[in-house]
Amino acid sequence: MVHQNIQTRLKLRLLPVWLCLFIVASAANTCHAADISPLTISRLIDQSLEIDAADHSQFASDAEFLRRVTLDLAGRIPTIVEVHDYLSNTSESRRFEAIDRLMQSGVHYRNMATFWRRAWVPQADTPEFDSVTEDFERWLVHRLQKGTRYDELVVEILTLDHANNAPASTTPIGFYNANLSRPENLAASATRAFLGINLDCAQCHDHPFSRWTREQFWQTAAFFADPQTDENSESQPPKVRVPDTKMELEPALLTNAKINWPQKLNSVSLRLILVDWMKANEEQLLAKNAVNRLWAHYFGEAIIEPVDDLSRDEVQTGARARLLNDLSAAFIASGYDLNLMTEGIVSSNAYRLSSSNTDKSSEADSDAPGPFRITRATVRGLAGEQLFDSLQTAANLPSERRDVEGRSDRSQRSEFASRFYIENSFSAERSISQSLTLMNGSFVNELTTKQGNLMLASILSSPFMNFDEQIDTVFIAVLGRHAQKTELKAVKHSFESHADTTRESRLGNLFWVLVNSTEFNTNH
Amino acid sequence: MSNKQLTRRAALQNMALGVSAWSTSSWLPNLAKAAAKTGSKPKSVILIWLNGGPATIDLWDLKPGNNNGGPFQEIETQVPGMKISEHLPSLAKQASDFSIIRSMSTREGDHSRARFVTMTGYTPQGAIKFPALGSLVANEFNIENDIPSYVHIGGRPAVGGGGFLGPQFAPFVVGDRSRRGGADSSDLKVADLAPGSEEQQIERLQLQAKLKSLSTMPASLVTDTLDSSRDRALRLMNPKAASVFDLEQEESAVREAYGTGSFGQGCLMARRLVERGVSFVEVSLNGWDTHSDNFARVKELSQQLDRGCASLLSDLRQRGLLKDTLIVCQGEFGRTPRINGQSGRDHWPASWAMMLAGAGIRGGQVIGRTSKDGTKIESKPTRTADLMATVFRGVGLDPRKQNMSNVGRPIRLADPDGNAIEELL
Repeated sequence: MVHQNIQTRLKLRLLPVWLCLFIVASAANTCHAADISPLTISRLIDQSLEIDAADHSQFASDAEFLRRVTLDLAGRIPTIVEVHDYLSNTSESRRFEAIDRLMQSGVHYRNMATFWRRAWVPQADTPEFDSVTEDFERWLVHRLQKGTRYDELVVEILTLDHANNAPASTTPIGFYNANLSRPENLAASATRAFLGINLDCAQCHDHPFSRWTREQFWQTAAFFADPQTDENSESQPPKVRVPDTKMELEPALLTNAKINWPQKLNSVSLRLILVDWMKANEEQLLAKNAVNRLWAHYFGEAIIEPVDDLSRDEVQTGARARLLNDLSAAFIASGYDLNLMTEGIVSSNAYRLSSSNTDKSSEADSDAPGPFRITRATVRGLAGEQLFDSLQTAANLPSERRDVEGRSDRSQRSEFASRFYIENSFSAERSISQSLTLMNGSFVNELTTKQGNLMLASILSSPFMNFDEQIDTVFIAVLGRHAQKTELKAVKHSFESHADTTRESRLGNLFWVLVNSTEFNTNH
Repeated sequence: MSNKQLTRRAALQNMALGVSAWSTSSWLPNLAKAAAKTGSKPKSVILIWLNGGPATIDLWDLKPGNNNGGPFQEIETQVPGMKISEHLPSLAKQASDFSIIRSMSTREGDHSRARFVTMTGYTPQGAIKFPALGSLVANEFNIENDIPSYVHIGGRPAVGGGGFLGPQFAPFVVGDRSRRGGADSSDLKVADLAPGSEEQQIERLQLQAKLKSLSTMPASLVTDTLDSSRDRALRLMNPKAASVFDLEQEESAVREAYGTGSFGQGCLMARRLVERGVSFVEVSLNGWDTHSDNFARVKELSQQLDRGCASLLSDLRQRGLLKDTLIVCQGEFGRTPRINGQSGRDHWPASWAMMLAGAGIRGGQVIGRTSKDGTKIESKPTRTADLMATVFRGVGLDPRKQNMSNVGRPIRLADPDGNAIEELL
């Protein structure tokens, strides 16, 4: 029943797709929301990257695909049941079913809330502003679950009346707190987070290679200052003073677009001018920044790197710029629909490429002109949250074991996640200390006993399972795939050479080896 | 770029082979052999990092009698005419071993930017991942050692990762509090260094080596990093290597002499690390961001600095290590000569001082001079690039040597604008 629905949906989508693709290519803005479907996005990606859909040898295996898409959408590895279900499903539409199921799950929104919070308020990953994380992400989960448009999320953040924020209300106040409510911090963060442009350097002086001047930086900052009241009690645009100078600047837009000052000027209506301009700006930086960052979440590297420098001249032309333009136009036409974009990306053939293809062209200099190609999936490191949730999933434990002693205690999850924080997935680093913790730390070692690992406990108490099946189940639980014959043989051989070791210790040792493997610690 | 990556990958593969060789046989004895390979004494650098920006006007360049001077007195040192703060008496007795630069002049007054520039020698430029000084030195000496070649003690390193040199030259951090609080950093233990049981460890490592040899994971930046990190962690777990962090092995009189706080003990650990061939050690002393109550706080910090640093100097000298170990003592900037309303001093990059000692440095000198009120440099203005060039020359490295960066552009060890301070060399 479900399969049929999806297939019908796919067929229905086919008609407008070609029409719409044509429109996207010619005049993107005329494409209407109703015409854009996830398939529009997938087609756009696969055409642009010239992926040959008929060549199945280049795609990831079912087990690899399920693990990848589960990590990306739900932030954890698949469970034993999910792996079995997927591997025994022979339906043509199994990929789309899995995507649908994962996108409907609550953890998807939690996962994406962490993703966007990290993109917009990266300071919250430092101890100083750690306290804003929880509330900000709670607000974001709520909005994402409701299917709020992306542009409306940005509007809500930037027009929050933060001075009159009711305590304990679910709002994005964390954005202001993490920027100490200072105009210059808010300006730098807002332009970086929502437009992908880097104004910070212009804060102190003009830089020869930067498009932005110090004056422009402080004019942007002025939007985050409070309006002043003149002698007639009328509100006037605020003036901010550039430090160490006599210069006082009023709010002005980066494009020098004319500002229509509102009748009633207050700090909210002032910021609304800025955010309205962000939406209307013909460079579409608001959409481009969102699409570029979302792409990086699913492919490792963004279309344009670094993600906070989209305004450089060098990245305005070429195949990468074209793809980003087209995807952003489609994103706008869809009504800034994040779910549609996400579904489109993970349904593409580009997303299901295997990570082991040995095509040399993918190693070419990414800055080189010429077509933008992806011939294999990038092997990515796991974020701290993904690593924690995956360890828990492998041991068949719930992802959160919150300490009960009070709110100020960090949950074990966030403590672990911050220890294994990575800056970005495609060049994720692992320190020696982190490796030591994963090998010798008490957290992992508790998972190697049946007291601390429900998965081990249940296979040890399953009389119908033979030893081979138990070993295979540990592979499925940890790596999301069956053990290969050679691996099974090697494991049994190793067990036999230590005759005195109990079965529990043997399986615990196997669990330890697998969670310390490169395969477990990457999304590939 | 591709050449650099190829050699890195080859090096990693060689290392991985070596490790699997020992991990498949007995764990401990083979590791001991690997450690014994490091025989000759190479040069090292110890960076004493005064985190937060120290009021150097109250340490190395006092202004007694001036409004900006504050309450501290100057004292004579072993070197005639070279005066320092009264709260650095033990260092004063060894002044012929170190020199002071009183004319540091830099541009960044924001902590994180200033730290970046001080640590890397470069201002941030687009996507270039500049490595910290420690990574550069560790990479140049490239010593084969089970102990990481760049160790940071206390707090978090200002520039993490190894920049474009890759994670094998990233700082190994000792005594770090977790990102969100947690264990006290005064305990300089390395967490999770020892496995639960040796027998179980051998069983696990054997199985790991076997399954690893069957792995079909494609090579990539991230897999290289994971493999390298795991292998290096295993080598460090070798009890012989791990013992370098065990301060219990020192006599209690020695531990006492260095000062019992985490900074003093960190200095002692630095000596142990240098003795074992580690190329670069950073010891961090936090708390110098004295916007208020500057004098009481600087006095207390000076006492810690004096005890730890003076013990380190004399200990290294007695062991014959000082001639091979360069000591750099500084923070990210100085502090305002003018004293603010809270008896504090604010950020001030325009004129500040720092100290250099040991290998390749001629001691007992004062370089440069500031005005009577401390606000202006009157002779020998010195920038970060000049200091970097001096440090590289001090340990026998050519500051103009180039490394290929992540953007495919060669980058010199020190910014070519810099000129080493010849009087010090």
